[in-house]
Amino acid sequence: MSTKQIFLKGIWENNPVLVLLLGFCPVLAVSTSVIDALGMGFSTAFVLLGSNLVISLTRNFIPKKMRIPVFIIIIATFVTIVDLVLKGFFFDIHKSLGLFIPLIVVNCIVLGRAEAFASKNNVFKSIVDALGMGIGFILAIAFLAAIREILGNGSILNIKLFGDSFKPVIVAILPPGAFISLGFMLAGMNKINLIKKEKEKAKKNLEKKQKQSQVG
Amino acid sequence: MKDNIIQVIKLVVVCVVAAAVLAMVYDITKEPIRIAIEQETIKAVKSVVTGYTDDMIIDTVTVTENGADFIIYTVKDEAGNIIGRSISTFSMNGYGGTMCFMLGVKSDNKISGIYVLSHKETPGLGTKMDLPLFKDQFLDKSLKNTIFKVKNDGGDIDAITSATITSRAVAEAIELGLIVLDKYFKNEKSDIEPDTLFLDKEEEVEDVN
Repeated sequence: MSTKQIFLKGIWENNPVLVLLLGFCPVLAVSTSVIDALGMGFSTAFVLLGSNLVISLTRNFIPKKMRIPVFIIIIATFVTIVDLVLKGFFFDIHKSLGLFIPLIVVNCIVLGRAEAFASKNNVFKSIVDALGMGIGFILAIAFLAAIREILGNGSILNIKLFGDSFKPVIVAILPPGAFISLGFMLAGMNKINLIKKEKEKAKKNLEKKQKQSQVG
Repeated sequence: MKDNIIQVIKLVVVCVVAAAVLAMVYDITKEPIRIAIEQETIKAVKSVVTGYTDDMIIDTVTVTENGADFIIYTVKDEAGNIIGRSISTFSMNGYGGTMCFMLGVKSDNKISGIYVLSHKETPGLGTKMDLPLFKDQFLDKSLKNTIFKVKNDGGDIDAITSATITSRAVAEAIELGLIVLDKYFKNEKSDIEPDTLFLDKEEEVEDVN
């Protein structure tokens, strides 16, 4: 696999949220406003980057049998760093994310990439994978948050979009709205992939036919 | 057996390294975190006490009521006149659990401002408690002239549409704060505040206002 492929896989083909269906807890819970979602996205991406880096560096040092507890220790260390740094330098974001930062420890995306990729690949590839997956996660959570914030609050990045007569669709900002919006996002993603596939198929068929006609 | 010992040693090494890194980060962020929390508190006190300026002095006392700690901030100007007070109060009955407020009162224990310190209410519904439309109805109210319950429960507080539980909790928190403030700073009997000319000064301040 080339570097570019690894990178792009995380963003679209193997998007952690929309294709691997991992890490739903923070995605559903912290997507009520775009700013919070970006805070959560970047925090998770940073933890993912750090843990992938350290785990691929130490992959020959760590015995196979005890890799999971070591992964957890490494991930928890990075999460605590994020928690402290956010609290010290971005107090407002920490205020609204609060509870969800410690929960990154159990985010399956981070542990999943550590187990499936970083523990088997070299440092450079692991970093690229973490970047791709991290950006894929940020895009997914920010897009969901944008849908929910626009529909449910009539604003984006806290900027009001509509006049006073706009009545927000309150359900979009409530927990059920997260599931509904995410469902539509998954459906949209599948539809796009389906169209892509069909186009490729049609292309192949066309090429086949052309070849046949040339032969004929 | 030998394998096991090696594993144990390796796990210990990983833990020690992790602990060392965390200790370092903790040390670096300790000061910024303390400053951030302090600034948040000052910002809160500033926004709820009317007439606060930067050269004023904030005295803090901690009182314990029903097993909960309340911090009371007394804002004085340079001459020692009391401009107002604020208290950090809370309610555990919010829609998302505990919510904390900074409640500011004037020297006559009438509300001068409310600041939301932390909450877990529903965005778009419960968070409307932070809007002036809801918050400003508390201004100038005190225990004497107001029943701190939503109108549905026979009180004087207009609830937020579709966020009645939040509104109830806000009213509860504010009432609690006022009760604690009243207990310690109403009748001059306070053993915490050593200021003996407290009542006179209070009236002076009122005249100025």
